This record gives sequence, structure tokens and C-alpha cells, in this order.
Amino acid sequence: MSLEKKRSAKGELVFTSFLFVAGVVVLWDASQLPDAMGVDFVGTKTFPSIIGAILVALSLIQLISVARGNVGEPEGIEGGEADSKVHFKPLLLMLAGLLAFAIGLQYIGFLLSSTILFSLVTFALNRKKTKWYVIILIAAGFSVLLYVAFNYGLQIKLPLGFDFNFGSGEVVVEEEW
Amino acid sequence: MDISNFIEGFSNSLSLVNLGFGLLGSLLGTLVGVLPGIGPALAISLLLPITYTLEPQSALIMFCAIYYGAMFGGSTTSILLNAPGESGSVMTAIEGNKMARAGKAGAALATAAIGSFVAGAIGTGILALAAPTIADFGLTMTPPDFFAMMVLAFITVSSLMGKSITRGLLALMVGLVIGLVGADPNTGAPRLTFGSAEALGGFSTVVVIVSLFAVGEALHIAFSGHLENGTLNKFNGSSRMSRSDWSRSWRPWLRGTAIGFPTGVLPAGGSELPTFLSYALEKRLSKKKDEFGKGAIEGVAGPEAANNANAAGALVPLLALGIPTSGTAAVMLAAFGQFRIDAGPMLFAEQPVLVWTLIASLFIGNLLLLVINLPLIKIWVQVLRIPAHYLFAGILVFAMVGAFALKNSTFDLLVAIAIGLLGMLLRRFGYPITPLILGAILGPMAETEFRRTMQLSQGDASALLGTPFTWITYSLMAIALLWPLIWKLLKPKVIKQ
Repeated sequence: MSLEKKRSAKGELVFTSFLFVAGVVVLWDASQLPDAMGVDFVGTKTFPSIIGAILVALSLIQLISVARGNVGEPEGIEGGEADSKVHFKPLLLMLAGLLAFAIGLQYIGFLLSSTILFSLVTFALNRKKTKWYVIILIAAGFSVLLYVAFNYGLQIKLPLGFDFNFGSGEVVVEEEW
Repeated sequence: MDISNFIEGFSNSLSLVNLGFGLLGSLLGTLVGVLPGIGPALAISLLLPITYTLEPQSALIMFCAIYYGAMFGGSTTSILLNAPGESGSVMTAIEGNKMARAGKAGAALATAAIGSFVAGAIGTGILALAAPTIADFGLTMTPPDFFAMMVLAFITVSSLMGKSITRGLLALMVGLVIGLVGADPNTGAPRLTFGSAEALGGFSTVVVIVSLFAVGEALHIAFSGHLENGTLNKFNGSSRMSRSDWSRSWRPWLRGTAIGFPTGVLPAGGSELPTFLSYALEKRLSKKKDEFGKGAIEGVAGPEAANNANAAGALVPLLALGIPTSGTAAVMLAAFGQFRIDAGPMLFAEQPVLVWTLIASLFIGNLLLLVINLPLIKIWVQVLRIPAHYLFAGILVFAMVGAFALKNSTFDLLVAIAIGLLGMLLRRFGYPITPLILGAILGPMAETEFRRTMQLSQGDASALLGTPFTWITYSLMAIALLWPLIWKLLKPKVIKQ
């Protein structure tokens, strides 16, 4: 077994263990549910317990199988190529962009947070290194375009931000489904 | 078949608005088919926010047109770029790209487009004839029957997709767990919410789908690989077929349709399997076997017909029974859900005009696709020159906006990032995504049928096996699960022959 394969087997063992733990959590959560056998012949616990039990069993089987060397092959990349090494920097850049968007949206508004997300994703994926101001210009342009399209085309109001008076103004309440 | 409703549907689909959305869907579908890395499932899920404002009819017409269009467009990329535009075009890439290199790009594109049209027309025809009958049958199905159907869909999709059954089933279970989150449907008891009030409503389907496909895929590319705009094959702009091309193509078109449609109706998980089967069949039947691998037109004609027929076939169980058999169909089911329309047996009874308008639009869309596809190929080729990193940046912004706009909630965005990260890890370790989507969307419905069954039998679990239909379904499931074993036993014999 090559060093690279060993490392990915280690990663996969951690991931499979995580699935196992998730199964245990599902079972535990199901056991906490109130029993309402009177109203319902099945009870609230039955369905989640079945799913939790199968998840625990399958992840155990998979854990053994991975430990014996049945390592998963990464999914191919459409429109690109898979590398033998993993890249943490682009991954973190992209995650930072996503988090900035998620948290920033309410405070700094759609236009800024979308520009940040677009730019960081482009930095993460772009190997040829286009000039940074070109990327930011394209990102800003795209954000404005999308804002206009959503605001006027689809009548979906996106937050503009810098409106620290929450609870008023442009909050569209969509019906849950 | 209901003639009066069919005629009303047809005249409805010819209205300017519906034609417009059909055309828009065809164009968008071709676009996502052409672009590598974006399939119809992602495209439709990115567009789910339009369901907040659009009429159900227009939106659903557009989504169906995208599904068909992606199957048309995928071939262009496969032939002109040595990369399949979407997973149903992997087989096309083998022969089509060789044909293009030999200077026969035009013939390859033409046989793919015309084959797609033929298969789409036949498939939609069978859909129109068969779906109402199946829906009538669906009305007689009992909760244990529906539960058995859903379990069958779960198991076959999980075992047929991906490389190992355990991974497929695990992905399914993760999807089912995601479907569990939120209030218990009968008692309202909070499941897996860990005290969060926002999780009580459950994870929105839009958020789950968008994050798995868009966020998960982008993170996977950033972590495990890199993007590359491939080199384009030469193409002089005319897509014509010679007389011999026609005579070599029409039989593969029909055979491809014959393989693609039934595998779409059955839960086989999408277009990979039928295109592979069609390719293998054409190779076996060909008199010029040595041409395969060097640019045999049959190898383009068959699979391309198969993937379109497959899309039409997948609509049968979706419309008639409410059961999705592929990732894209699952997303379409979510779109129906957005409008609070129940796809399934009652659809033909409750919304006959909607359903027939949809089917009529498929015929029109199919024709539109043929018309816009061939003359516009030069434009589609230009699309392939857009640098892929901008594309993914745009998709991610779009995906996050879609996840946010549903409830204007930051919580949904954080959920999207978490599920996206999960999607990346699944891809990294070779788990298929489709079973997860199916589990998350169909899981809550399966739970409802499960509970109805138990309710009717007053808690007697043997009711799950209470009808002949359930026996047939579970037997089919056992065969699907044991298939690798059966295959192992049969294989030595087949090879010896």
C-alpha cells in the first residue's frame, strides 16, 4: 500500500466512524422521543430507530471493509482532472467565501458578500492566476446582474445590508412547505 | 387516454407563455448539457427559486424541457470536447470524439441530435399512452404497495449506482437521516433538532439538493482536483449525414429507445446504465466490430437515443405514481412539492389539464430542441470557452441565493455549507450522491406510507407483505441486491461461450 493510499484510508476510516457515530446519535435521539402508542400504532420511535439501526450496522460493515483495504475511489471530476494530492488551501478559501456569504448577507448585504464569495471561489479554482482586480470586477458585475435579475425579474428581494434595524423593511415572508 | 383533456392540454401548451417557457427551458437545458460538470439535476435545483414566483404550469414545462435539453446538449460536448457534458453522455464520448477527430464531427452531431429527437418523440408518445393507465392502476395501490415501491426504488438505485453496494446503501441512509430531521409528522415531537427551533421545520429540499450538487461538487473540485478547459475538435459547422450514415443510424436509434425507455421507468438510477447497455448491444450486433473504439456511428446513435428515451421513461413513474427513479426525477418531484401538487395517481384526476399540457409541451419541446440544436451548435461551442472557474463561482453564488431566498434564513445557509461539506466527503470516498437525494426526498413519503400501513393493520407488521404486489416488488428487490452474486456465478459461463 502506497503512502498516499494509506493516508486516504485513514481519512475514510475517520469518515466511516463519523457515519457510525451519526447512527448512534439517531438511535439515542429516537430513544428520547415520547412514546405515543395510544394515538399511533407505530409510535414515534419506530421509524427513526429502524434507520438508526441500519446506519449503525452498515457503517460497521463498511468500517471493517475499509480497514481491510477496500478504499473508496474519489469521484471523477467533470470538466477537469483529479489530482493525486489533495489541496487544503483552495478548500479553505472556498469555505471562507461560503461562510462570509452566509454570515455577511444580513450585515453587509448581498452585493458585497456575493462579490466576496465569487472572488474567493475564483481564486480557489483558478490556477492561471488572472489579475486580482479583474476577478473582483467580474465578481462585482455578476453580483449586480444577479441582484437586478432577482429583484426585478423574480421579485425576490435580497438584503442590501447596512440596515441594522432588523425586523422591519425588506423581509419577505415565504410560506413554508 | 383522455382525448378532451389531451386536446385542451395541447392548445394550452401552444399559448405564447408556455411556448416561451418551453423554449427557455430547451435553451437552458442544452446549455447545462453542453457545460461539463453541470447536469440537469443541478440546473433544475438551481432554478427551484423561480417556483416562488412562477405559475406551476410554466415552471414545470420549463423543468421538463431542461431535462430533455440536457440529454440533447450532452452529446455536443462529448463529440467536440473529449469530455462528456453530463453522465449520460460518457458512452457517446468514446465513439463521438473519435469520429470528430476523423473529420466526421458533423455526422456524429447529426446522428446524436436526430436520434435524441426520435427517441424523445417515441418515448413521449408511450408516456402519453401508458401514464394514465399506470395512474389508474396506482389508484388501486394500497399503502403497503406504495411503501414496497419506494423501498424498491431505494434499494435498486443504491445498489446500481456507484461501485459498492454498502456505499450506495450508506449514502441512502444518510439521506433518510436528513429526511428525519424536524417535527414528527404525527405527534410533532422534535427529531434530531437538538433544541434548535429553526430545525423543527426540517431541512428544505431545495437547500439539501442545491448544497449537495453545487456546493459539494465545487468543494470536491477544489479539494481533489483542478479544472481544465479541454481542447476543442475541429468542426466546420455543417452537420449532415450521408446516406450510409442514415442507414447505419436508424436501427441503433430504435434499439436505444427500446433500452432507454424501460430502464427509465424502472428505478435504475438515471442514464448511465441504459447508455452503457445500448453501447454494448451495438458493439455486439455490429458487423464492423473493429470500427468500435475508432469512431463507429452506431456507438453514438444508440446511446444518445437511449439517454433521451430514458428521460421520457423516468417521467412515467414520476407523473403516474409519484416515484422518482433518478436524481433529476427526484428534483422534479421536489418542484411539484413546491407548488403543493402531489405527483402520483391523483395527479391525472385532480390536475388533468396541467398534466396534459406538460406532456404536450414535451412533444413541442422535443421538436424545438431538434430545430435549435443543429443550427446553433457553433454558439454552444462558444459556451465551452467560458473559463470554468467563473462558471463555478457563479453557480455557487446562485446556489447560496437559492438556499437563502426560500425563508430568508441564515440558518439555511449554514445548513447548506454543512451539507455541502458532507457532499464533498462522500464524493471523496467514492459514495454515490443519487441515493442520498432519493432518501432525503422520498424518505418522509415512505415514512407516511409505512405509518399508514401500520395504522390500517393496527400495528401488525406482516401487513407490509400483505398484497401480491408487495411480494413481486420485494422479489425484484432481492434480485437487484443479489445481482452481483448472480453475475459472478454466471460470468464464467458467458465468457466461455
